[in-house]
Formats: sequence, structure tokens, C-alpha cells
Amino acid sequence: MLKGLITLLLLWLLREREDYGYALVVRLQEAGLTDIAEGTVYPALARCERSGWVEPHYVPSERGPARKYYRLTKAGRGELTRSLGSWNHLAALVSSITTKGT
Amino acid sequence: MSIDLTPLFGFSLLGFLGITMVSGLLALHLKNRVPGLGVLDSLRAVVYLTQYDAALEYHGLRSRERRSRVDELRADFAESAADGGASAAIHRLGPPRVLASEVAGARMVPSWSRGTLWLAIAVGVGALVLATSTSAFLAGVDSVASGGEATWSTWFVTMTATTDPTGSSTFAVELQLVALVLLLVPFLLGARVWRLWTGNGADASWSHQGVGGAQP
Repeated sequence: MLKGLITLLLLWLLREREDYGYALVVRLQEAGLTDIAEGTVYPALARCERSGWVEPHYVPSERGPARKYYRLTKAGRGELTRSLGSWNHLAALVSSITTKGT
Repeated sequence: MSIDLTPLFGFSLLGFLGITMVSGLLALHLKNRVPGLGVLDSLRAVVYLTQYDAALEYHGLRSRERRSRVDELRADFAESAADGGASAAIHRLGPPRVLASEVAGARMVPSWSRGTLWLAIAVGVGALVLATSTSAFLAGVDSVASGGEATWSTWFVTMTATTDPTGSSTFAVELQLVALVLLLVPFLLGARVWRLWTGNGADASWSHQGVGGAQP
């Protein structure tokens, strides 16, 4: 479930603007996911890329290799909408169950 | 006056192997270096990225995609290392084998290039041992009377030196076929050939889950 959540969050962030791996880690940490690590984000980005939800493009760097940026694809927008709907439904369900008084 | 150059053969081979290893390590460093880091941090980064690259190969990623994945980490590493150094950045990435398994998402396959490397090392070591043994053998041949024959055999190698009354000599080395077959062992071990059948077996038993650090 957590893997799916990370995917959802990454797609959401990329919907706002394209970015590269480490920058996405920082954005997630600044949003409150302080325990998130690069070792979680890079595999999630790789899965998104294999699924066609994001596409990479490279920005040349003055030093070292070109930086790999990700941007959302049309399929990614569709997946984001679907995932967000599922999450909202699940969140509402959990809230409903846990707030029912005894 | 004659000079026996045979001992030099062994040392030359050793020197050649040494130069080859140093050149290989230097090439790896240049391929996986991360600009903007200090010496120690740079070395840690190179070691990690090299292990990551090797692990990606074990997951069957083609050279181009492997390079892309490794370069992605290289491009971001210096920025990540600004927060706590290379060791902290490496800790957050997790073990290279685990990261490669998660990134590649593919079953593990034999690495024939790794097997070839092990084979080359085995051949080199075997040649060095053979050369050293040859040197010792030829030194003993000097004591053989003119017109005699000396034979020395060990494992799967037989050496024969013959001198005739005129002083000329011949030298022959016979290598049994089983020695060549045995050289397949380091090749198959290095390639992890059992992955043809086991795929994602014990080698990839860790799975990186969740939002936490990279520990399984």
C-alpha cells in the first residue's frame, strides 16, 4: 500500500512541475514525509517510467552527467486521477469505520 | 654467455596483470566519478556506483539503460551528499543490490561478462603458475646429461625436455583437455549460471518496502 502511496504522491508532485529524483525527495520531506529516503523514490520513479506514467528528459549539467528530469505523461495524468479517486474513497471508508461510535 | 629469460616471463605476466587491474580500476573511477566531492567521499561514491552498476547487470539491464540509471544517481549524488556526506547519502540509497533489484524490477540473470572476467583471471593465474614451474623445471634440465630426457608432470600438465649429444634441446608442454574443462568452473561461478533456473532466488531475497530508510 505504501508503494502505491509514494507513486500517487510522486505523480501529484510532477503534475505541479517536472523535477528530478533528489529534488522530489526534498519536496516530499518538506511536505511532511521526513522519513522518506532516496532508496524509496528512485525505484518508484523507475516503476512509473516503466508503466509509461512519466517520461524522462535530460538537462545538461556544467559538471558531471546530464540531470534526469521527469514529467507526467497523459497516461500518468489518467493514473493520477484514478489513484486519487481510490485513495479518497479509501480514506473516507477508514474515517467512516473509525469514527463510528460504540 | 646466455641469459635465461624464462623467470622474467612470470614476472612480466604478473606485471601485465597488475597493470591491467590498475587500468581497469582507473577506468571504473573515471566512469563513475562524482564531481564536487572530496577524495574520500568520491571514492565511496565510485565504489557504490560500481556495485550498483554490477547489480543492475545481474538484473539483465542492457548497457544503455544501466548507464542511464547509474548516471541518474551520479548527477544527484553530490547534492544528496551535501546533507551529511557521502556515507549518509549511501545509507539513504540503501544496499546497491537492493536498490538495483527495486529499480530494475526484473529477474536476475547470469552475467557472462563477469564470468569472462573470472575466466581471464583463472587463465592468468594458471599461466603464472605454469611459467614459474617451467622456470624451475628448466633449471633442473641443466643438470641432465647430454643426450638425456627429463620429464616433469603435475596436475594436468606434463613438460618434457630432451637434449641430444650435440647440445641442442627441445622443450614441450602438454596440457590435458580436462584442464581446459576445469577453466569453465570459474567462468560459470563468476557468471552465476544458476540464475538461469533460480531467477529471483536467494540473491534477491531482500525487498525494499515503505517510506523508511533502505534497510530491509
